[in-house]
Order: sequence, then C-alpha cells, then structure tokens
Amino acid sequence: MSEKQAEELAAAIEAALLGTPGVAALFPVAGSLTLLVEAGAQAIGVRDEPGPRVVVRTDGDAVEVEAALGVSAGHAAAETVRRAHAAIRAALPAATPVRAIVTLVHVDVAG
Amino acid sequence: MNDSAPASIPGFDPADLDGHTMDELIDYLDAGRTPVDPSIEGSPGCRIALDALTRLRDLGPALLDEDVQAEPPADEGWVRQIMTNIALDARAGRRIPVVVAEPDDVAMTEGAVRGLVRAAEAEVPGVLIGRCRLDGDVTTPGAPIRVEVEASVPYGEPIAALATRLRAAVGATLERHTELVVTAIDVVVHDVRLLAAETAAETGEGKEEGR
Repeated sequence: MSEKQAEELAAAIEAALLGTPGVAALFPVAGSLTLLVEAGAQAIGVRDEPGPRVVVRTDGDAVEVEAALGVSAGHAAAETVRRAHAAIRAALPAATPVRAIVTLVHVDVAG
Repeated sequence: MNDSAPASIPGFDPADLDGHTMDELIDYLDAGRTPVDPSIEGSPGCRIALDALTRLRDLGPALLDEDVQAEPPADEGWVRQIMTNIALDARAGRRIPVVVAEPDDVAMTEGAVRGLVRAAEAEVPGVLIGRCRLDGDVTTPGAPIRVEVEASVPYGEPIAALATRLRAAVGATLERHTELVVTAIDVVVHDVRLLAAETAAETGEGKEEGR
C-alpha cells in the first residue's frame, strides 16, 4: 500500500467513524512521533505536537489502524465502540490483513 | 490556587492533562470555553476534568472561587480535595476491553469509565463524587469488579437515602455503558457540607461573606 493510498484510507476511515451513530469526536492518537501516516490535518492535538485522528500503519500488505474515540452518552458506550470498530473493518478491503486498535477515551455526558 | 496545579498532586503526572493544569481548566471554564482551545478540547483527560468541573461549578457559581480563594489552615477544603481527585481520576489508566469477534484491540480507558461514574452524581442533586476506584482486574473480560466512590453530601438530607440513590445511579450507568461485571458498589460519605445559603444564615453574614 502506497503512502497516498494509506492517506486515503485514513481519511475514509475517519469519515466512517464520524458517521457512526454515537461517535461524537475523534481524539489525537497517542504516540504520534512514531506514526507513519496521519489523517485529519486539523490541529486539534496536544499543544505543539498535534496528533493524527486516525492512524494507518502499513507493513507490506498488512495494515494496522488506530483511533481514539469520544462518544455521546446518549448511546451505550460499549455498543458505540463496537459499531466504530465494525465501521473501520468495513472501510478496509476484505482481503487485507488488518489489526484495529480502537480506544474510547471520553464519554460526552452532555451530548 | 497554585496548590491545585497537577504537578503538586502526589501521583499525578502533568501529562495526564496533556500539560495543562487544573487552574488553566478553571480559567477556561470561567471564559465560557471561548475562544476554543484546541489543545484542551482535544485532550481526553482535560475533557473528563472539564465535565466534572462543570458539574462542580453548577452546584454553586461561586463555589470554586470561594473555596479556592480561602487559605485553608491545616487541611484542604473539600472543593480542593475534589479537584485533586478530579485530576487524578482523569488519567487514562488501564484499558478495559470491549469484546469483539476479531483479534483486534478494542477498549475503553479506565479514565473514561471513571468519568462516567463521576457523572452519575448529577442524578443525585447536591452530591459530589470525590474519588472513584475500580477494584479488580478490569483488563480481563468478566472479572468481578468492585466500585468504590467517595462522596460529599449536602447537610440536612438522610445520608443513607442519598447513598442508595447514588449507588443506583452508578450501577445503572455502568450497566448501560460498559461490560464490567460489577459485584459491589461501595459509597463512602466522607463529607457533609452546608449549602452556601445555610452557611450564610448560620453565620449571620451575607452570601459573599459567608465563608
């Protein structure tokens, strides 16, 4: 997978996640210094070192996707995370070896 | 208010609030969260702390300022203690797995769950959660978990009834949002406080001079 393809995939996953019922926000993924590709260029990250909102790491044909979610308390949090995970998997080509790392980091109790 | 800076809290790593301090978060709330600070709004720890600080502030608009401006003699004021605990509880903590069919790593942070538990205080007006602990191996699906919350309650209401309502609210929240197997919810009431109006009436002073 080329870097451009990885960027497009990250952008597609970000859009899929933000369209998932209950997902309120995406947060910068921790450990941004080691990241290979980042989507979401908007600087919402940590101080002087904004992190990407969806990370796609590639190793040959294998893909690792990482995302940190904020969800609305209006939906059951665990179910929202599960839906988000399914959305990531659905955004990837079926034959692609993939590992997803999805973390719910905040529940918006006002949402 | 310098004492509330995260760096001064034992066991607190400033990275937990992504470099921000509780003072900064309170100032940010004072400003109505405008202009939007991306580094605060983009930090899960800050967002969890802001949620709790907002409820604390809603309990009495001047509560934070009154307590913080006072110089506590020997022990900290209860608001200061709660703010310390808010900062500690905002830490990401352990990963609590969400079970999926694929061999992926899907989880919620302990900090997010503690934030949910803390939010249950809104179901019992006047009650504030000081500290929340999840005892047990939360990293293992199905492991029994014991929840302990420390609470501050308003004077004049039956403590047992308040504790029962808080326990029910915490239980309902965890059942709805998590897959934790909660075997017990312990509510420890560590503080009974007078409301501002009652304090003023008892001292014969106006509200502004009530402390």
